[in-house]
Amino acid sequence: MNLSQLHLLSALRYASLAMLLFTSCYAKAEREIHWDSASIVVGSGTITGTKDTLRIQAKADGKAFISVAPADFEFDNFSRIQIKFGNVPLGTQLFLLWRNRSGLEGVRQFAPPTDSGGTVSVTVNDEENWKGKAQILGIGFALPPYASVDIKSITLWQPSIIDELLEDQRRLLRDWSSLRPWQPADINAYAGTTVPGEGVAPVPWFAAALSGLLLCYIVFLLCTAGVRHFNWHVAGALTLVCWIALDLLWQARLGQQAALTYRTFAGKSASEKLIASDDSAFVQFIARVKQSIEGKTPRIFLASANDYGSMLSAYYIAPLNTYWHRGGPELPDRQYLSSGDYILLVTPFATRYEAADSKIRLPDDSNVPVEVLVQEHMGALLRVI
Amino acid sequence: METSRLLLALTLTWLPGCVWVARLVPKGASGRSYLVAGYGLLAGLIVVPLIMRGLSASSIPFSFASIGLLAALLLLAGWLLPNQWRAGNPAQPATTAPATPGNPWATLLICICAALIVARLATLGLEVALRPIYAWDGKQHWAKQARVFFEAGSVALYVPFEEWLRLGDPKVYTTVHPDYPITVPLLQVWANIAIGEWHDSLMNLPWVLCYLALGLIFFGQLRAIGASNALAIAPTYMLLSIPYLDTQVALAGYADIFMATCFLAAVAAFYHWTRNRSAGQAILAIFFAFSCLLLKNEGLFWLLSFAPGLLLILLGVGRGVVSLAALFLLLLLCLWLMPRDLAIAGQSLATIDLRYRPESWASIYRNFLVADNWHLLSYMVIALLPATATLARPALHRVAPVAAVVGSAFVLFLALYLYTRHSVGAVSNTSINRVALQLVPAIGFLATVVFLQLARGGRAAGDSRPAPGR
Repeated sequence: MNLSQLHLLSALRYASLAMLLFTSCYAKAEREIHWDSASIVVGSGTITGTKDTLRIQAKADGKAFISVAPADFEFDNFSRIQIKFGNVPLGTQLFLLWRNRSGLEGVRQFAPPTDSGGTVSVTVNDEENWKGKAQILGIGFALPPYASVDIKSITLWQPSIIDELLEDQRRLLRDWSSLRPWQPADINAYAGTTVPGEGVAPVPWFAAALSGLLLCYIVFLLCTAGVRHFNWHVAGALTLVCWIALDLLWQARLGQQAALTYRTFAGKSASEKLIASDDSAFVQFIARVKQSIEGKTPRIFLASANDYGSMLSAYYIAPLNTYWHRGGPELPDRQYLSSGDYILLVTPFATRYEAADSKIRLPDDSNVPVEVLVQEHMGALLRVI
Repeated sequence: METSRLLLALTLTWLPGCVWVARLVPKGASGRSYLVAGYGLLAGLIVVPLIMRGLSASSIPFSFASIGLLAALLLLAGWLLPNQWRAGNPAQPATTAPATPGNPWATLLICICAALIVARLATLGLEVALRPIYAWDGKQHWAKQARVFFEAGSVALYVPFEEWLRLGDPKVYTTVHPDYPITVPLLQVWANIAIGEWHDSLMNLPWVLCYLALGLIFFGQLRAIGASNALAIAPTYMLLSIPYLDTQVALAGYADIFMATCFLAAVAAFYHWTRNRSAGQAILAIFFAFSCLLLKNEGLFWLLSFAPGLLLILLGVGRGVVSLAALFLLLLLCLWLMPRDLAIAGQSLATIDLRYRPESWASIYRNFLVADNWHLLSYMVIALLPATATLARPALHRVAPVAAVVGSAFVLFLALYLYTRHSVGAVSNTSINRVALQLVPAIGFLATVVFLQLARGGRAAGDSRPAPGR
């Protein structure tokens, strides 16, 4: 092992020790009150619970209410409430309800967990009436009739600064790595956040972390062997570590996307995949259109003000000979249209179809007699007579 | 049946290229097997569409038999050529690089990077194999054209809208870009012919092959210029893990990754040739530089970017730089005097509307330094630039020709978005990363070469020639 590797090892050792001490000393809530499933009171609904999980079944009106056992605490002393759920039916609405001993009360709707067994954290200290000595603290449910919801525990807590920081980190990690199904614009750019242009981008953060590590290495050298012993392999190793850390976020997102792709398309034939895809409506529309097109070498003029729709229509109607002048006039002048040509109108379109006369009005203000072969909300197929 | 035909098609694409490339890389050279596999695969991806164009020109319809037979003949010809028809001077010892010295850290690094590469390849392979074609231009242009060629069993003529209307010939087709090269659609046609039917997802398997070729070429060339396995696989992993590159594979359908791989293949072979004057590397550099023309129209500009590198080789670095400055002024003069409607590679002064467009800077900053398109690559390149100045003069001279090639291409890229109407592609975030992708593997290669020089303190491994201009 050479000198640079020893430097790197000792630096990593000190860093991990410092992190361990730091988190063990400070990473705990300042205050918290915890209620497990046994200490939760059901105000409305039926308990059908198990040992560690309270299962509450709603009545016919789909409503249920639970509250926590009274405790002598002030709302102001806690800024978060954390609810650990089991199964939550789709479409469930959740409400946090509270009242203090002066009669001030409040209601706050919050989102259910995104996955089964998830935990929801609600920040409550910004609520106007979240103050005074507590009298009631409960959760209301609006469920499908007779549906059940599982609650594992409720925790009221006041996070420490470290908790806040760790939560920020967790939020960032979620934003950088959670599933974001492919969007058409992804072929042009990848922001790194769940919503492009929103949130903190990971790259500057990791670049700053890498700069910090390199700076630490240089300071370390200055304090020991001198900067002339700067080793490019160590710099490369630090860069690789930061790169891998950043890349794991991307790999996590890609992995989730691959799982979604697998669930959507695996085991399907080529045509079934198209039906399962986002293009399904256009695939089926064009399949119906194609059935009405006759002749060995038909010409199809595609007219639309919908770029995306006409692009899909032009693709799925291939290999038929199509004229789609994106960005140009929807249809050419009269002289270029002949009897037997087809006109595919994809909604919305600017071309004027005069149903009373069965005519299409062209940009040069001339008319073309047509017959309607297909007419649907997605568009229409006409044939020039 | 479908799988066996696909495997046979893969063999007929890959093996002929390998057999020919094997003649260009001297036996015993470091990373030879990776070079042969990578360059061979890429050569196959370029040559099979050429075979198809030949068939079409000879009025022989596309079929598995017609294409496969010609590919097999190419393979046989490469196999049967006399043994002395090999590049490289047997009297000159081949370049050798240390494999993995018995260092457990290096072994660990290799294992981690290899595992990450395999995981990425598997993820992307699954996306491509299962998802029907998704991306816009894939459907609007490339795959639509492929569908026409596939059903017609030959290359169909594409003309501009006005000409199509005027001709009224049902066998002539039209599209927004009738002048685009047809290599990529023909690759999709070949995949569909192998499958036996039109398949909107499996036809994109060439994108995975191209990704594989990119990795093999990058790794192979780094090994060939003297990097150890560990020092070669780390930057290879970094390149293959770039999110925008991965997205172009996952949402296969665009031609940019093929251009990126061809340009890298040419640049890396050019660098190797500047160091060792190996005829084989020269042939590879020339073949793949010209192959850029077969992929997209901008390939002409990337081909021309080799001129400054060649000038530095011919005149030496000192005189070369002065000549380049003079040529640059001459180019500006030509632009000033050139007729506005004279079209080069589909572009004329009238269509590009030459003027400074500072609004593109915000997009360049956002896409390269904030968004995760390229992970930390831009920061690394920016950090390496001042560090390059610390290199000793011989090391600088070694890197100068390839830096001139990549630098010229990058200047052209900047000029495209800062001085032409294509700046709209930067401002609207549509094309800037796609065009950047075409250069990024070559930029990554140059950055790695500079890093290796820095790590060696300016010493070059495996060099058998003096630096130019010494």
